[in-house]
Amino acid sequence: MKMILRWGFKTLTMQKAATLASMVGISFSFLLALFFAAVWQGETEQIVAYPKKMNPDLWIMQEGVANMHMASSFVWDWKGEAIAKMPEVERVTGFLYLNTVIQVKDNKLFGFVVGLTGEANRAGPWALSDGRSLKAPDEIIVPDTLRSIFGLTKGDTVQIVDKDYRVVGFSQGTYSTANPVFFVLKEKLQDSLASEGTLSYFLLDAKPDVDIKALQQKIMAEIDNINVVSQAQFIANDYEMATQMGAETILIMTLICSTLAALIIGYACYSLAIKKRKELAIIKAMGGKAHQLVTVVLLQSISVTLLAYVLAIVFLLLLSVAMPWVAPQITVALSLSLLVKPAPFAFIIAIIGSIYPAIKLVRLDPAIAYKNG
Amino acid sequence: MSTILETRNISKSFGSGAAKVNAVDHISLDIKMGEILLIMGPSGSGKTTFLSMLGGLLSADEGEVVIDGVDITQLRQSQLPDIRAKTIGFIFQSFNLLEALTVEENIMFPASLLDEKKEAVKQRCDELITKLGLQHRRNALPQTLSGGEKQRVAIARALINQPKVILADEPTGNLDSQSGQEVMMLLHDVARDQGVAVLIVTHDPRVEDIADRILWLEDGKIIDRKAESHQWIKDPVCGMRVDEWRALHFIEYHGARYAFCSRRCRERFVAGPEKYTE
Repeated sequence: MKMILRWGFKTLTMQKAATLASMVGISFSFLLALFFAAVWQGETEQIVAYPKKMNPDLWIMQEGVANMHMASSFVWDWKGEAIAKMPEVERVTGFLYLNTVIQVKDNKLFGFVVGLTGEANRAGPWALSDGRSLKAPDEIIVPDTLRSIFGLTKGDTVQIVDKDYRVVGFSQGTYSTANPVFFVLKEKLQDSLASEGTLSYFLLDAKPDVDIKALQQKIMAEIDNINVVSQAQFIANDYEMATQMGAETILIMTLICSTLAALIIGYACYSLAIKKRKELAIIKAMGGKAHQLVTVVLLQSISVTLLAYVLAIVFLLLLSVAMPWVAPQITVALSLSLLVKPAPFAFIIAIIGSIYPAIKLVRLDPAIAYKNG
Repeated sequence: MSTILETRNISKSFGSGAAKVNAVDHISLDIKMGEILLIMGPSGSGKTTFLSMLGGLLSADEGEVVIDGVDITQLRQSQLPDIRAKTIGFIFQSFNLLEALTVEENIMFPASLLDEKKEAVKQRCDELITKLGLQHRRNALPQTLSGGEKQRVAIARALINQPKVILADEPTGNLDSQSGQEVMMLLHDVARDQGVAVLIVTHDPRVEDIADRILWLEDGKIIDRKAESHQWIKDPVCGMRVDEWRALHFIEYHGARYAFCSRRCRERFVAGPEKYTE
């Protein structure tokens, strides 16, 4: 068996151009699927970047609301003040929140607007690449990435709900295609929403050694019409919402790419089997059994596919390095699970791709060995 | 000498109705151990079909093929590979070496298809390499070998599993006369020294020198004849060398006798003799 396997692998390496072409074709199919998944993961992580970065012990919001993404919440500000007076509470920071269409120059994009209650705020941007913090109600801090996408500069005007805001700063880590985060002071936003006396969310930081779960239950019991959610649960809720919205697209893309990969594998194995038809017939004539030949084709297919998979990962790493220059608006997130999870799937694709060539081999007439040429 | 290969009334036809061709038509023959049997005949006479049936590569429509006491026509398809690997050595006109493997790997290949200890196979391979003068080419790839060397490797490969029968299809067909002579002598030694039955299908009359028996195959039927002196003349139609005294197809034309390799050549001649006699 060893010798026939050696023949199989040597045959692959002897046909370098054909093997390499197949491998690159398969790897591009995998690359497409992996890249799409990585972009989606990057986007999803960016969608929860804001709540992750805020990292309070508890989130307080309107009853029936449990996350930020595609949600709206209004809570009377006095409720926040009441919670802040509880002995277990270190600090409560409220902010107004709106997800809406924002006009940047001639472009409209969907984004999160966070209305802060003061200049240097717990709920504000955590890193500025340029500019300063907010001082006046008509000022806005926009994601840094918008500079490279739209050529936005300090002093430019951005419109939110028909009101103008002047750009005074650029924040880092707050951009995603689905929901870039903009920061303003709450007053003007409150006017737009006609929501005086309310805020959307409160970030609660508890005193050290306080039982967070007990505090959560206490607030829920004492304050009406609100929801109190732990940081972990809040992130999970937002993440789930984001994932649900793209799960079908990812699945369809993965299926298309996998089918493409299986077809390329099938074609590669089939053309290899056709090219080596005479030699395969000779092996059969000399006593080679069908299962031995099928094993060779299967292993050829698996090795080409797995090498193509590794190649796809290399391409993806290179692409992720190049993305900030090529397309800064796209966030690519790579993780070990994202890279490794589809490997068994690639293995299955390799097996599927080799089925037809294997059937042809089983049926191959060994008498072909007697044909000349 | 005991019979190692026997066919009883084997037939094979292709097509049906008016287009039906009897490639092999009720052939019965015995081949004894150590015997060299030559099968000659014109192109399309059924030689390769007959050889394929003897090697279990093609099933017979009727009749029996008994190799070493086993009627292979009664075996399942899945049982044939083992019979082929253990009992039969194949030699082909176009050598049919596996391009990706070295000389040594090619020789050992048929043994690797069986469950045999590598050490024993390696020892036999070394012996064959020495015997066939391939020591200096052990690690060479087939494309770097001359025609004669390729056929010696093919012979070593056919012998590695110590078969009882060798089926050779035009073994000298692609070789120059010296290499062809060497290959003939090797096959002769294999039969004489190891008692292997060698069945050779060929057009090459030089091979007749080593044959114990020569059979003429035409239109799927076989005619027995002895290896003895011949009166060689040229078939005026195809140019092939034919034995004037034993030719099955001949004609008298304008006082001269013309012999043909096949009925087809004779028919062509009859259709326009002036084309071939000027």
